[in-house]
Amino acid sequence: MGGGGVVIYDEQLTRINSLIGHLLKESDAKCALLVGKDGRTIARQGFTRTIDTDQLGALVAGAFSASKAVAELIGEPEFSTLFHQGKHESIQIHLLDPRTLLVVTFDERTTVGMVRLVTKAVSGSLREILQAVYDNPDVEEIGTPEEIASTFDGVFGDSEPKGGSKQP
Amino acid sequence: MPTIDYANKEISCKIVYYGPGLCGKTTNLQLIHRDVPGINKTNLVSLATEKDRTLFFDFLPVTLGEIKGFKIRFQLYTVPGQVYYNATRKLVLSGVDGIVYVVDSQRSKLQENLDMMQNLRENLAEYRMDLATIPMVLQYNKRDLPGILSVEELQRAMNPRGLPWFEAVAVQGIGVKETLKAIATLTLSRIGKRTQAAPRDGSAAGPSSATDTGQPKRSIFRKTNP
Repeated sequence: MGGGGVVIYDEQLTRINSLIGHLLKESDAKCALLVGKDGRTIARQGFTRTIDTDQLGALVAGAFSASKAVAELIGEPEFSTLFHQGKHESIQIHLLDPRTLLVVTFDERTTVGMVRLVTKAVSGSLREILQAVYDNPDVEEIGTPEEIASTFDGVFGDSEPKGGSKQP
Repeated sequence: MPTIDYANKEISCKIVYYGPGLCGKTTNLQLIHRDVPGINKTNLVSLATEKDRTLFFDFLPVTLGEIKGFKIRFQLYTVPGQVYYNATRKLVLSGVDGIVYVVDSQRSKLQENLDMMQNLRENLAEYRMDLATIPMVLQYNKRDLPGILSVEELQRAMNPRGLPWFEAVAVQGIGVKETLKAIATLTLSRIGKRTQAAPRDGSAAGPSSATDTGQPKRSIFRKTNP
């Protein structure tokens, strides 16, 4: 398999959401996301309705990956925290474990120091839960290719493409 | 493997459109964004140069209905096709679940197609993934141009595995949604079929042998924690 996927259960996500909710409350930050290094958003809390968290996750993971090359140029394996400051809004990207980033957005109501402090306080517990998540067993198959393909007929229609699955 | 979220009842897969420069990867995503009906989609993100060449990646998240109560979400990425952006291509492949290899059908582009396939093989190997086992479909694009290779010639050169393949004219939307449907089906049908181990940190590493976790598998229908 590809290696980037995660199987996450209800109780695990509830605990993660509780911790990052606590982070937001204590730091006065606006929203927090857990993002895989492959760009997939695992959890989100706070003011996320006006943010496309899928896009944010993909872009943040891309930026973090690119920064690894910069880190290597100056003799670091990778940076543990990135911080981008805007006029009103800022973002902190923290490497929580080798596979996961904790992303926090905040504004003038708080400071980067406070965000870093609370991030550090919840990081250990988040890492523990994530370790359990990454150790979750695989799931069984969800259906035959025919069953899965028929699910998509409503979306794509059932047009006959020019192609095939065997060599001519 | 895809991400399976029991709390939100979502399955999320990462699909990467790969291929040589100017073969039509970005065009595929643009046409999916514009034309495929019924897709719940947001904006297409393109990190491009001022001349519209892909610099980092294009990204389009789409939701393609439900299977057994789970919302099916795909994150579609392209890679930059220019030879010197290999570091970026490697980054985008992190955690990939399925690949659409877009082939430029022009006779003059055959060597570029072959070189980029080899590049894909090498980049996947660094994530301990094998080109021979990852879900993949081929799209023979630009079928409307003069001076193109026949499908038989392309099959011989590009498709020794006998993978699913589609003829396409991506700029006109021809073959685009069929290709997406095929890779979506192939990727989802691999859930639960472990073939290879990837490093736990998701980082690149040297090749390794296939393994299994040895843990019992969980039914997709179960609601409670084990």
